[in-house]
Amino acid sequence: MIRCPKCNTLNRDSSRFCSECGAPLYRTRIRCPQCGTLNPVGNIFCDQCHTRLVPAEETPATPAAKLTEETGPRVQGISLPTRPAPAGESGETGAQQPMPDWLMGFLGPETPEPGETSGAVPDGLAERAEETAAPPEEPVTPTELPDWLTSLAEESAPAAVPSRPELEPAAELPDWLTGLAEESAPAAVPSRPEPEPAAELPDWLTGLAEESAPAAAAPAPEPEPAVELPDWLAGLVEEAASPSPAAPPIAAEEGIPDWLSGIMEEVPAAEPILEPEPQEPEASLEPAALPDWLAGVLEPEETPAQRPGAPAISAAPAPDWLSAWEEDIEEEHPIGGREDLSAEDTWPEQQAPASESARMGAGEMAAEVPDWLRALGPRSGAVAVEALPEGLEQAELPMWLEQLRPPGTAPLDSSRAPEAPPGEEAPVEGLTRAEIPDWLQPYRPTATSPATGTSALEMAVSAPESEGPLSGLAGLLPALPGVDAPAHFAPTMAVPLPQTVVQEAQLWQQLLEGGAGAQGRPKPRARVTWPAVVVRVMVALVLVLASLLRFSETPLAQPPEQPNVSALYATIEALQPGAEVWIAFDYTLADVDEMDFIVEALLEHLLSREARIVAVSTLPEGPGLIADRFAWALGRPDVSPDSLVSRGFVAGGTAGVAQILTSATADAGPHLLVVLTSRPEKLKAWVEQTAVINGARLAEGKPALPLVAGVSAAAAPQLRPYLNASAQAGWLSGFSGVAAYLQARGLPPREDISRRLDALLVTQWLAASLLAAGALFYLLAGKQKTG
Amino acid sequence: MITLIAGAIITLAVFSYLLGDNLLYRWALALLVGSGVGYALAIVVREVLVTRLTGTVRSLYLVPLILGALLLLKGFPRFSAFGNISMGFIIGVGAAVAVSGALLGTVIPQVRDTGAAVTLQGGWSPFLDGLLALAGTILALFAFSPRVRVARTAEAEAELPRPARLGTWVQQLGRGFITVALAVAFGGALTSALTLFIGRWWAVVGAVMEAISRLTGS
Amino acid sequence: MFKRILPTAVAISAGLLVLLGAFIPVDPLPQIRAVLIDWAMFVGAFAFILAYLQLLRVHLTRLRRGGKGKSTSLWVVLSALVVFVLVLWQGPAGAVGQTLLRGLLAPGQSALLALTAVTLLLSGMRLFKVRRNLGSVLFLAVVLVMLIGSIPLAIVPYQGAMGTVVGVADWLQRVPALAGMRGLALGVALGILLTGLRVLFGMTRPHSDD
Repeated sequence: MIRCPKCNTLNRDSSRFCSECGAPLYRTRIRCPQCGTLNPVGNIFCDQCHTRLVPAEETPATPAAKLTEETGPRVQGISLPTRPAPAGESGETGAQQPMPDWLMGFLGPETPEPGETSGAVPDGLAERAEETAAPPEEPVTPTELPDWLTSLAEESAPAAVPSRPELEPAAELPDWLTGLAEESAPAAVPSRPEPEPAAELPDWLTGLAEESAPAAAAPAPEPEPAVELPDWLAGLVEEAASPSPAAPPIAAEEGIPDWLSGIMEEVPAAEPILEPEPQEPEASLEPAALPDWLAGVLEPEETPAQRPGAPAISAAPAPDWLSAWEEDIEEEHPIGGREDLSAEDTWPEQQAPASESARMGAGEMAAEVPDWLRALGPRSGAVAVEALPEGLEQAELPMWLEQLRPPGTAPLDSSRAPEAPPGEEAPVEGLTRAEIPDWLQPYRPTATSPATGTSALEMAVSAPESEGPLSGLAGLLPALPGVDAPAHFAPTMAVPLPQTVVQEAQLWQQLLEGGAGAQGRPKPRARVTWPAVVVRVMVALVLVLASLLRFSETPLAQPPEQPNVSALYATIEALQPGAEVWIAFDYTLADVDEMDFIVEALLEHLLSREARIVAVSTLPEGPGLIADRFAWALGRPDVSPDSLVSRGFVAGGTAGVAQILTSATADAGPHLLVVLTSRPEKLKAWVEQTAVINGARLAEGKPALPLVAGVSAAAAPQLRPYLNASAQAGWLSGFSGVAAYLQARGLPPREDISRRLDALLVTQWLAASLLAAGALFYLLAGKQKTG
Repeated sequence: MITLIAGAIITLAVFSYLLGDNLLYRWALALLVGSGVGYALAIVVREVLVTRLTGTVRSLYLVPLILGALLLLKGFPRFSAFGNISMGFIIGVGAAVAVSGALLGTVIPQVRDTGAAVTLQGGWSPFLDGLLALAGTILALFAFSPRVRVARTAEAEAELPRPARLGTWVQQLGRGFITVALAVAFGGALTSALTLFIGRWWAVVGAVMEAISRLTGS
Repeated sequence: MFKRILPTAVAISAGLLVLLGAFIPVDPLPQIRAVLIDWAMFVGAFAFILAYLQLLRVHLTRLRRGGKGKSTSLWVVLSALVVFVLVLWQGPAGAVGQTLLRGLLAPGQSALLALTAVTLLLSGMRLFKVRRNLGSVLFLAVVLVMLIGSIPLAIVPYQGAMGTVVGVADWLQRVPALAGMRGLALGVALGILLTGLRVLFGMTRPHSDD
């Protein structure tokens, strides 16, 4: 590791600039421009391919001669742009760049001897080669380049070849090379703004490095010697450092994709793809470092915005296993193997090799990947235009390549960007957001993780606890998605439709429905059609008639036999005179017509047993109902006002129930608790709190408080589990229950109750007939349609 | 008499909805809502606040009075944060009351009763009923379990491993029990609504007859 | 502080004291529990007041801004004010209160609930239009049995077909419906347990602004 002299940060061995402050670092290794092998600093020639690593004048001994003997006078000076032509330097650097393979293959395995002509070399070239062939014993210098090659280098880097001013590239170059020179010279690759240390950074990375580390960048003095690039490649190379106009502009603060920014040494960004945060494991999969589509697969919705207390993204050096891997790759995989990398290898799916290469630092992947492949490498469309060096122009990617633009290199649709939670600070400097192309946006996994099939909300609430005594644990007390949704959670549809799609669909629908003129027609106000009104009125009329008409002088219905009614009767019958009975009036005003009969039946029985009634209610309308029923009771003979006590309204819901029971049972307590309710939750609260009180009473040796209930017919089915419990001492429900209770008491049937029961029977039978008729109708209608 | 007539009028105004949404119905509804709110507010203020604060142990309610006043600040966005303390108190006490009640009043008794029903003491019929009730309770609990994988189509079910297919069947059976329970609840709700329907029309007819008899002097 | 820490501390401490008082009948825990519950009941009254005042504020806002629904909002606000004053003055047992209860509130709310008889019936008739499967068939069959079998006919002998229907209706309520409802009740209770414990451990903070 190299320690930065400025900020003392540890950097990788192959780093050229400090990842923290951008200061140039003293190299400990040199990357071969030909094969990419990392060589020790003292090497003059590459250990792998014997390419000269340092200029000839810097070398003390005979490696040049050795080079000549082994490899022949290689024509140097041509290379695809991998390093800048530094200002003021001779063209030696550029001239010494190795020839690309395609050109090497064109010229033949060896440069022909002076006087000899290779079959593959045009005559003009051969002459130039002859003229410029270097003596074997002399090191190859830029001055010995063939004119046509030198001129190419000169045009792209005029200062690089100052020793050959006599060349006139346009006059001497063959047409095909002239064309290359003309086209590529003005469209030079954005140069490396940095001086020598950044020379080996690939162009597309250089351009990105410029925007991301402006402090370390310096404006390029001259363009790259990229004249030998065909224009289609030159355009691609330019595109590497500049945004495509076709790409929607991203915000100025965004630069390279996160997956790339994380591997750029100049960018103090996290590298969460390959190195998890040691303290916070989830930070290794922070979506901000991954393209959204990839982050969604790995850790959907686990964004820092949704995880309170999630750690901020912080920079981290590359892990050792990665640096070791880089070295292994370079040592074991010569350039031939690297060049065989398909274009897909550079896509984000396999970012490791590319990211490692980029991570290795500026200038050290010059020949690791072929130039034409480098040019196709993922590049960010987010480079701000203003960061381009002067004189550079933006070029467009060809359409076929634009379609292959990998995710993360197009700007994120701002309408779908997750909002930062309140109080969240701006993204960490150097971090950039991954972008998803617009066409991919609808398929972004948001609501459901494809891996687990769980909803985003369920995952959000099932995450490890971040606060409280159980922080860090997950699943011990699982949260309920419907109850414990994080306040800032904003679930979205799994596949939300873009607004344009919705609008288009609406337009199509309008056209299909009403033709061309439908677009401007105002939407008619929704009205209930007359058949529905007629049906509704008919049904109501039938029910009214059934309710009012008397179909028989003799009763049509008889009370059902219900064991629960008998048990209730027995419980009240067992009360001693003067026993205190608490009655909870917890039914609403809407159920008065039904509950009045239940209240009267029970009150009458209790008063006949000379019980002392204490009435209470947890509903605001309770005191009025209590007063009304007490007024009715006082109208009966032999009822003393002292036997009727009202405790009024007790607020608080369940807490109020607990308070009532606590105060009621403070002393000896009541002998019976009667709950009159039409709301299931009320009886549940009474049953539960009575169980709590009874637990304490039993522990103290006191008898348990019995509970009986009078509920409406609507509440009874839901309260069955509580009413049928062994702790309950009887109950009755609905009007039929009242009739059964009166029958159990042995009282003579009442005219009004008998008539109401008959009316209820008739309406129930009528309702059953209507339901059956409706079912039959729609069954037959459905069969006709399908038929 | 006034009560009868007023009750009949408001009943007919509400039933006018059967003819479609109309102004009379909306006004009747507004009257009911407003009256209900005013009635409840008056009861709460009178029965709780005035009674407690004018009672014998007034000092005991100093702390809840302060908490209640803070709670009223929830209605003002600027000061709503102060009401969080009162909300925390209510929610904390409410949660504790609910937890103790749910455990002692629902979970333990229901589990006990479910198991106690499976007994041969009453004969084979109650035993089978109890067994069915036990199975139905367990199946109903699984019906809404999110961890049980459910195949929505026959093809998907064929692809599931055998244990997962069992989960599908478990959920289907559980939902069958719940369907029966909901159907019974529907029947009970309809019965209750019909009872009220009968009572309202009887009241309307009674009011009309009362009014006629008063007018005619008979 | 007021948004999170203090409310959470108050919620946890009050809740734990009440919980301990319920399960440990050792003085002074039950007494503390009783006092805290009494206080909660008192503060709950303020919650009632706040809820109703919020409702009135909505209608007052609509009155001030005008537009659709202004007349109904006027009815709401006026009736609320008048009834509030009258009932506060006389109390629930007073003549005005009783007249309001029996002459307006009870009949009106009862009529609203009675309307559901028609709507429930109509929706049940359209059941097979919406969904036609085994579940719908089962649902309808059970409803029919319940409507016919809940009140026995007096004019027909109790034995025979009528007795069978009544018996089936009774069995449906006692066994499968009970099992289903019990499963639901247990599920709800377990959910309440979980949520309540989460509140008491400070993991869920519905009272805070976060």
